[in-house]
Amino acid sequence: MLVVESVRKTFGGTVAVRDLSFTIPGGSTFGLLGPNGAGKTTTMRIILGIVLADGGTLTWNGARIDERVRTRFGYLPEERGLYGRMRVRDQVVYFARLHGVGKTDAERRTDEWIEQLDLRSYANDACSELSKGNQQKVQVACAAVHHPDLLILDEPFSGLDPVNATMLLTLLEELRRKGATLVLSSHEMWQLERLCTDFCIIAHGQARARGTLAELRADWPSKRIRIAPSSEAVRGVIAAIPEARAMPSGDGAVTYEFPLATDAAALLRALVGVEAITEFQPIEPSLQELYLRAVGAA
Amino acid sequence: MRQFTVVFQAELMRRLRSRVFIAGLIFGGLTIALVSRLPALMTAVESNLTHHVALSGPTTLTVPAQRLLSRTDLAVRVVPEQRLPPTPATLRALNVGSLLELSTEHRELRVTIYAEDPTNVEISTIRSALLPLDLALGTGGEPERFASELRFPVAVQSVSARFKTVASSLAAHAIAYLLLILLYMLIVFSSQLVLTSVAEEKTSRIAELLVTSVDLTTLLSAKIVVSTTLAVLQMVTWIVLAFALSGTGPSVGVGSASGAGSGGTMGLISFSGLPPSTIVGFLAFFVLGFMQMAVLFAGLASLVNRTEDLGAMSGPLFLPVIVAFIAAVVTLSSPDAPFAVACSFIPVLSPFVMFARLAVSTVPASQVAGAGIIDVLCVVLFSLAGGRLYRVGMLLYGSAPSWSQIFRTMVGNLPV
Repeated sequence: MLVVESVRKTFGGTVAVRDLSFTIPGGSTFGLLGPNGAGKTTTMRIILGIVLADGGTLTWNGARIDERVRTRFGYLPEERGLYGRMRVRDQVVYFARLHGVGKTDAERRTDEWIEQLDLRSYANDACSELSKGNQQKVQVACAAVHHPDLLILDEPFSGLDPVNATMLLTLLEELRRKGATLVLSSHEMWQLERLCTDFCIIAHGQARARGTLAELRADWPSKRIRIAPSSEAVRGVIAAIPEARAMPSGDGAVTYEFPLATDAAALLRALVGVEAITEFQPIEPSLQELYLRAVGAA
Repeated sequence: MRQFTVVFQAELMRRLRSRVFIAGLIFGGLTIALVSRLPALMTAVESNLTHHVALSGPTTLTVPAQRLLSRTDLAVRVVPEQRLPPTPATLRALNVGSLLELSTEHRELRVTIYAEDPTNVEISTIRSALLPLDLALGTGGEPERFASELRFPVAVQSVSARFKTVASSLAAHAIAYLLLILLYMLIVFSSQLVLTSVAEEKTSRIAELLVTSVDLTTLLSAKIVVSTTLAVLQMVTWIVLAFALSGTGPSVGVGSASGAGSGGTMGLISFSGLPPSTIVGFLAFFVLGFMQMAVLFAGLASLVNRTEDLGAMSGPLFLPVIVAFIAAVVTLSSPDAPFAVACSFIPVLSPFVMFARLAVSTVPASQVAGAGIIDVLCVVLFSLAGGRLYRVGMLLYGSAPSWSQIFRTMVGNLPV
């Protein structure tokens, strides 16, 4: 379990991270969300020891994070980079060995990753000869080849085509199943929603929301219910509820937003009394909506 | 230690395969071979230009003059009277470096020397050789008699404990000069390799992945050790190439400390017979000099965001190396002068100058130890500063830092 508590970091006069706290349960997949410049990368760098925090504490499974602990971490930085003239296979083996994996084991694991990432035909090519997407896959292999306990991925899907993005998504799910704790940042909300179990949304270096998706949704200030048909009678019932508003969609049904205190069962009973209701479905806010609301853009 | 070994192996293979290294290996060897042949080449060129002399004038003068001049190392022949002054084409047609026009005035010898390059005329040799003829003209005596009376033996005795003969001293100077060139080339070339290696990691943005995989001190240490290893490998290869290309065997040559001066290799610089102190001094001061520069180069290279900026960043660092080389060359001619002694203790200059002094003089052990201590301290100090710069620079992207930021980095807290 990773515990980040009251972490602060200032660059010159700019506060990058301001008393940030969150807990990442072991084996979970944690989404770190935020707009550009929110402090996501700085937070990741602090966890990895690349940048020293000005204050606060970080622990991994109860122990202070030091060089020894960090050898069990893996990192895919936002800025991609590889040794251009080094061959793909040599490169992955090199990073495995840097993390303490023996030569034979490193070679075996490298071959597995090359296979999984569909890089067989490029294994002996220099990395500079690869496409951007394939280079990214090599870098993912370099970050994860030593089977890290904690794998931090900064924008892992950027630059990948949909096929490769799906392949990476599947691979990350596989890593999670094997027990690795994953920390991701991405602007691709659907991927995070599919992959992550826990989230922290930050803006201006501060946590604006944190928890599981269910917990984040529980904090949503209204109820959304999709109701069909959108008849005069239905609209009449809804109009009687203070602060209720319609969010039209194009398929005949309408999603209404009600105050949190609204009794959905009572509402359904009232609607059934005036109309033959064909659809009455509570709608959960999407991660994107939760994110936009948390960062103040909604 | 395991990480160090992994980085060392990978770095070594990367460098060995790099075109820069292979090209440096070949061209360095060729340069050394050329330099080792330089004395022979210069002698050959010189003998064409200056050692061939033509005599012109009345036979009463040219015949005894030819006899007298033949006792020097000049190749003299009498030519018919020429139209004066001769043109360069005339001298080339006569295949001589200078034309001596002999005449008399009031029973005194008059010599006019025509040469394309007057600086190459050995005036004192000619004057000494023709002095008996001048005396003979003035007194009516025989030039040969005056020549035998004016001839007396001159012996040069070295009081240096280091060199017993002039030949061995000259040989040591030649070798020291050659080794200084080698030292300069190795330090510049190897530092350049460190520079490009660090810059590659920085500009390719692999740095972030590296810093989370390996301790930066280990990474930097491995780089420096690899560079030193490769530099030594280069040095050995260059010397072997130099031997092979110059046709000099390891057991012959003018470089012998015992003063073996001929053996059919006159004019070639040989490494055979190099005193162990010179070899040890060379290796020790190479390592100290190289490490001083390498850590600073690594630190500065870590600040580079684009390979195009490498030249501008590294240029100022090469200046002290050039100054050190020039100071060392000056030192060879007066190794115990106050200037040389002072330079032996100045960081960066010290490895070059102290090595030059060691190669051609007997330096007090206290001075060698003092310079060694200063150099070791500099390596430590530079490593701390360069290491700090490297640790911060590797993660610093965006605009290049100002000099004040660099200074603050070196004296402030780490990391960013």
